[in-house]
Amino acid sequence: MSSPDLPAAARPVAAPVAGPDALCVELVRIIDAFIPVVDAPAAGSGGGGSPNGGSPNGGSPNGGSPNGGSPNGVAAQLRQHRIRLLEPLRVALSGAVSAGKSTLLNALVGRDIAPTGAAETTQLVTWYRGGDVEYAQMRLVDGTTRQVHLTESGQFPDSLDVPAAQIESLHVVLPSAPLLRSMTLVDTPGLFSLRDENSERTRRALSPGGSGYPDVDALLFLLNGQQSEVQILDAFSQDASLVQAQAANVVGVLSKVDQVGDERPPLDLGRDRAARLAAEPQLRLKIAEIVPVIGLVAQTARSAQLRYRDIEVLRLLAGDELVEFLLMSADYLTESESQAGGAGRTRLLELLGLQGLREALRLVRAGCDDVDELNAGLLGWSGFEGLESAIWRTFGPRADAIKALSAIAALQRLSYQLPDHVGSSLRTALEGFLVAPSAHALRELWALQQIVNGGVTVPDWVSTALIQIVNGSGGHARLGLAPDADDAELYRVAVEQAQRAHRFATRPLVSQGSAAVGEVLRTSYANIAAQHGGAQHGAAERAVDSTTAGAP
Amino acid sequence: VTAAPAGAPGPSVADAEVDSLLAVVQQQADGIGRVDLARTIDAERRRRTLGDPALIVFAGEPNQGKSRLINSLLDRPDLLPVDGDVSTGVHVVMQDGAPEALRVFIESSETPVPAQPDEIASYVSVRDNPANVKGVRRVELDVRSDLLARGIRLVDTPGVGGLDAAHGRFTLAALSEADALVFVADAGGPISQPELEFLAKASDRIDSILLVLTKIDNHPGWRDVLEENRVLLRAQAARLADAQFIPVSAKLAAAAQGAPQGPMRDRMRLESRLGDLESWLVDGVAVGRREARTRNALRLGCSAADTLLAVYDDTIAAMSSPAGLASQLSQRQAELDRLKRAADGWRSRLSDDLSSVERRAVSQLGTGASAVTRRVEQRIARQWNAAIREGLAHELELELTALELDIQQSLAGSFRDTMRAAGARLEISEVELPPVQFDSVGALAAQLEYQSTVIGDDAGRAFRTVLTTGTALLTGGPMAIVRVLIALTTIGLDWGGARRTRDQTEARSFVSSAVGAWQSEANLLLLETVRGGRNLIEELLGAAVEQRIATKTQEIDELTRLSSSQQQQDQRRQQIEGFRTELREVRPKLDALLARPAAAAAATSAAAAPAAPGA
Repeated sequence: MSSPDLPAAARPVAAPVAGPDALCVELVRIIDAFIPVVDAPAAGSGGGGSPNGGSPNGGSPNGGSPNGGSPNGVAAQLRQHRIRLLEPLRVALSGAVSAGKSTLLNALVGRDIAPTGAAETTQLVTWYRGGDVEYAQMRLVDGTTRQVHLTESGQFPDSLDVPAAQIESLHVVLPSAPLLRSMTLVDTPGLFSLRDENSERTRRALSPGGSGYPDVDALLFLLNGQQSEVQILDAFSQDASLVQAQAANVVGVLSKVDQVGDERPPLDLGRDRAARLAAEPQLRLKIAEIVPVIGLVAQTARSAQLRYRDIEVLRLLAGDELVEFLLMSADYLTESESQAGGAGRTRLLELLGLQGLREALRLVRAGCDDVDELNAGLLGWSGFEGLESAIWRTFGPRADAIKALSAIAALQRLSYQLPDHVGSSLRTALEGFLVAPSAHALRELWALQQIVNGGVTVPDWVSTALIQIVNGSGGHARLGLAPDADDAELYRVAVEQAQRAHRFATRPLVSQGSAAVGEVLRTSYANIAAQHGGAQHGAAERAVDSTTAGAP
Repeated sequence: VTAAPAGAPGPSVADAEVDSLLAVVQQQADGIGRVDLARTIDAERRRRTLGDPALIVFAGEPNQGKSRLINSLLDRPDLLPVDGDVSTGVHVVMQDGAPEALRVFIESSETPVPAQPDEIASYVSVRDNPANVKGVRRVELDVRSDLLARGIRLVDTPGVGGLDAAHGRFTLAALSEADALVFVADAGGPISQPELEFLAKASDRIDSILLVLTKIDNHPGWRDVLEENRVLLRAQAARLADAQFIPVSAKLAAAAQGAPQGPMRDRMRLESRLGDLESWLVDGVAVGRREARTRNALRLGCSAADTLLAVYDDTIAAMSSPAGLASQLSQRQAELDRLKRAADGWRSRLSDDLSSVERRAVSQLGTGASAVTRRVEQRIARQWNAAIREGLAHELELELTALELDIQQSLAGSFRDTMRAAGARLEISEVELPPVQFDSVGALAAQLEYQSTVIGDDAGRAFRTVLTTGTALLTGGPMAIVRVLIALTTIGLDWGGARRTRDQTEARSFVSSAVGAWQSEANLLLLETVRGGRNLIEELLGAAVEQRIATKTQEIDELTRLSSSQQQQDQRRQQIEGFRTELREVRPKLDALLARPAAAAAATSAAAAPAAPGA
């Protein structure tokens, strides 16, 4: 999939060299070295592919001509990989029909842009990117693009003037959302839809057969604890197009915890359910973290939709003697003859849901009389901050490695389409890149990938430790220690774990694959030990000196 | 009050016709060797004659509000456990009865364990009985209820499509005896593909299906969802296109129950729409439960007849050309050969696989134990003081427990892999086998019975080990559970013995004798566990293979008989053509009976049932 044809100003800017994207930048150097080599034999073969990067055919090559086979096509693909490596991480919102994907998207970008509703509302794959100028366009199946004019309130219009069947995807650039500076979000139609064309669209977006390059790098997966969701995650793990270290690149979201029951505060209940789900053997290796959030309230609070007149309605409602009765049912609130608030109540219900409305009433009764204050209170209640920090925690530190790993897999596949000597030297370059000490983060992901896709069976403590290593940022988190542990403690635990991993990797009857995983783990611990005052201790050398690359 | 006794048996014209038509289908199924079909039809015919209360199953995906709905129906908000984080893990049958009582059927036992009704959560909820470790097969609850007294039993089921696949199987099993199904989906979104698949499966056997949209109090858009659901059903499930879809609010009903008499209460009661549901349960099913059973039987008769007709068409086509028959025969023969070849080798192959599992485990145990000894001894050698002596037993315990857990987990994984691999070689998918669960049970140890023994002589009385009953046990019923190596937990090391050690030498010898004793005990238990696992896997796979071979052999016998003599072939052909002609006449009659308007059907039922209480 190529980068869309956006105005130059809207294109993301490449990250500076030696920044956090060092791995990607290094890979780009490798690609740059190969592009001229690959281009050379194609010089006479026509087609006139201008090396402007991105879209050599003028239009979009996506879905159109796959260009396979010919070296010129390979060069174009190499350029696409190059662009992808310098772009932000691509994160798809995925889940069943009506799971609340668009609601969550609106909350994340802080704007009520994607249409939401009770039935199936999202029928097109929509890409949200950061940039300097607000801009929306649709890409058609025939490869052309058309601008889309958002409504005055900044939403997609109710109907586009092109039949849905002819639209391949929608693309939006939003300058206002900070999150989009670090990642591209992709809203997808629901899975398990009874409207087949919708599920089909999602499958196409998430696994573009034959394009050889993953369309997304990571998932925000809205789930509910269904078997079918596990099947989807399994399907992802078998699909070569998504990096398979799901314990590192999938964040699970319980997004409608206010709709299960009202005996307890919804977020409490959501946390319990999330913990229970996260411990399920079928999900343990497939999701980095599961967080509860009340999507609707988060959307409303984040996009600042509440007005002073809403507070007025809340006050009226609070004074209504029938309030308890009204709050019993959505129908009562919207239909009751009682005059308090009138139509305003329907609006509040749509913005907050029944439980959110109750919380808003509680805030107003407690003296809240300011819109910003109300928004802040509701945002806190919705659990949005927990979700946001989970996203940063999971995708932030690893964006570089995830992108690099998926690019390496794609490049390795691509190398076989090149002339033998070029292909093998590309593979050699990639292998050299993988075993370099600086690429250890990649090897950690690789090891996790081996476990997740079932290639290697290891005891639970190994997979748990590896997930902790991959998902933690900083020595404390990677070792699973409390933040106040001192260096000596860190060092002690790291050495102990390194030794344990070493024992695991070297015990008799251990398979080659799990030995390699054990080695990766040991190196990770040895590195932590070295960082935390290992030099003074003799043992550190012992732990570190047997470090050999555990790369594939 | 109303007609509880309506379900009693009694002859009528339509009744006799139904039975004779079904008998034809059953005999034919028997005649061509489809014993499975014959058996299910027979069961349905029998069930028709029973007058016991209608069995109505509530099913749907997890957390749609099934239990809450039943609580509201029975006016008992605290009867079944409800909480967003608690879901039902086994099915609960509720029937009218006083005094109220709870009966819990554990594993294959037919004798229920009596329990207090308020203890129900500890048996049925996933939170208190995770992965059904208590082995509960079914729970019966006697409740005093006017609704149930009108000839109804309600069944609450675990959600289908949840993460625990056993739940879905429980629910499908419950459906095989149901008279009617109440399918529960909440108003949070339209019906999904997996839900529709479940409905399609259920509607093969069950004629009376009611769809219920729950939680309408919490979803302002419920009317849109209801409409969307209707559209989807019309488009994708013709059979359910006209099924009733009732929106309900269990919450309003519960609130009404708690409210003082008055217009408000009446209004909540009305708008909960539980009345619609009740009248469907009573008037739509319970009163005419005989009719419902008849319709279920007819429904099954139709699908069985279609299956048979397809078989007849194939057979006749094959017989029309000699080559067809011969090729069918050689194809079947090849299939059987392949099956037998696989079946010949699989037991020894399984033995091989499992003995390497065993070897691996024993060696893991050996290396693990000596590593523990070495580590602890090294620590003693490095430093020796009172604190270390005091901590010695504890340290050993931690080390050994960690080792046990490692071994348990890899063993459970190996069992699972071995069984899957053996099944794959036999082309038996996991779906065809009863659900098996390989557990590592460290975490559940508290729930098992212990038997303490002391091992070792006095001087080396290193520690007590704890044995549990049954290392690998096959529990009957719908669920087989293998408990892997639960016996090793070193609950009590001989702390005194450790404390009595005076110096490093004594301490080291204490350690090596303690670990040695532990290891030899563990070895025995390990072997026992592997043996138990092997027996179970063999038993399960063996039964599946035998069933396969028997069916194939029968088909081949039949084909051989036919191809050996033209005369037999002609006879057989005549017989099947006769069957086909007969069944082609029967089939539209079944349809016609199913298409009878409900009123007429109820009339026949009423006529058929002169007030006689349920048998």
